[in-house]
Amino acid sequence: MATEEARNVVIAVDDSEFSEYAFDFYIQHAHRGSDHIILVHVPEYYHLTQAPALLTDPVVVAELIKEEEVKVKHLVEKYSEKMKKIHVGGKVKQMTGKVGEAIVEAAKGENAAMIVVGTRGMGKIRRTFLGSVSDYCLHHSPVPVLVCRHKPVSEHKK
Amino acid sequence: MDPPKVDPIDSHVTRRKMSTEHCSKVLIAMDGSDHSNYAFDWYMDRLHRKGNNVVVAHCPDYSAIYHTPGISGDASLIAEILREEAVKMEIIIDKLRERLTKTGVPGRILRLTGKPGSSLVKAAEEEEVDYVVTGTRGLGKVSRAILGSVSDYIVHHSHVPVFVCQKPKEESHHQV
Repeated sequence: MATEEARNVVIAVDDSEFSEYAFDFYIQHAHRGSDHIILVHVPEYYHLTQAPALLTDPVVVAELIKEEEVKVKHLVEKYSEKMKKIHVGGKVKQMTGKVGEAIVEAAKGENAAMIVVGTRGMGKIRRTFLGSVSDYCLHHSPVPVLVCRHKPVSEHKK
Repeated sequence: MDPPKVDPIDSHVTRRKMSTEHCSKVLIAMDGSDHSNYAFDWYMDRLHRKGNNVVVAHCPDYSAIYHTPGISGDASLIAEILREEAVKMEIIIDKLRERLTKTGVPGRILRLTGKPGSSLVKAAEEEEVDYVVTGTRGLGKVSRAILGSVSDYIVHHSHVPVFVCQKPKEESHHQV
C-alpha cells in the first residue's frame, strides 16, 4: 500500500558533481513530497588518518582543516539552496570516521528508508572501480541503496 | 486503488514529462526469487509513481547446467534438463505476470536470453530506462556473496542508477 508516510532518506554528499547528480536524480525520480532528506557528509580531513605521512606537518594539517571547513560551508549552502528551491525539508549531518561506515551508521540512526550514493567522489585515493563508499554501503546497508552512476564519462565506455 | 490504466503496451512508449514530478521508465530485474519479489514489492510501495513505465525483465541462467561436470558428453541429458528449465521458467514468468497484473500498473514482461548480467544491462540500455531495480541475491546457488553475481554485474555496468534492495534478514529462513 503506497501510503504517504514521512520517511527519512540518507543522501551521501561531498563537494563533487557526482553527489549533486545523485541528489538531483533522487529528487527527480524517487522523491516523495513527505520525505525528509538527510544529507550525510564526512569531511575529508578525517580521510587523512588513513595517510599518516601527511599528518607530520602541522602547517599542512591546519591548512587542510581550514580548506575543509570552507568546503563544508559551501556544501551546506549549495544543498540548502537546492532544497529550498524544491520546497523539500531536510538537514545536513556531519559525521566522522570512515565514510562508508559513517553513512550506514547515519542511515541506521536516522531510521532511513534508503541510502542514496554516487559512485565517485572527491576522494584523493581512487580505490575501486565502484568507489569505496558506494561499495561499502551496498554490502552493509540494512536498507535499499540507490547507486547513482554518473552519466557515462570516458571510463565507462566498454 | 485506482482502476488500472488501459495504456497500449508498446515498445515505443514515449515518456510523458509531468510538470512537477518526472515520470520514470523503470526496469525491474526479476528471477522469481524471494529477493527479487521483495525488490519488486519495495519498488511498488516506495518508488512507484503513477505514470511510471515498468518493465519486468527476466533472464534465465543456464550456465550452471553447462558447468556441471560430466554433462558435456550427453546431448540428450542436456536437452532434458533444458526442457525442465523451460517449464520452470514458464511458471516463473506466469508468477511475475500475476504479480504485475495484481498491482494494476501498466507494464510488461521482457524475456531475455544470454548471460543474465549483461543481458539485463543491455536491455536497460535498449529500453532507455531511467533506473534499474534489483534484489541483492536471486535463485543462484552461491550464497556466500552478499551481493549476487548478477546484481553485482548490474551495479558495476549499468549506465543508469540502480536501486539495490536487500531483503530484511528476519524474513528469510534459508538461503537457496
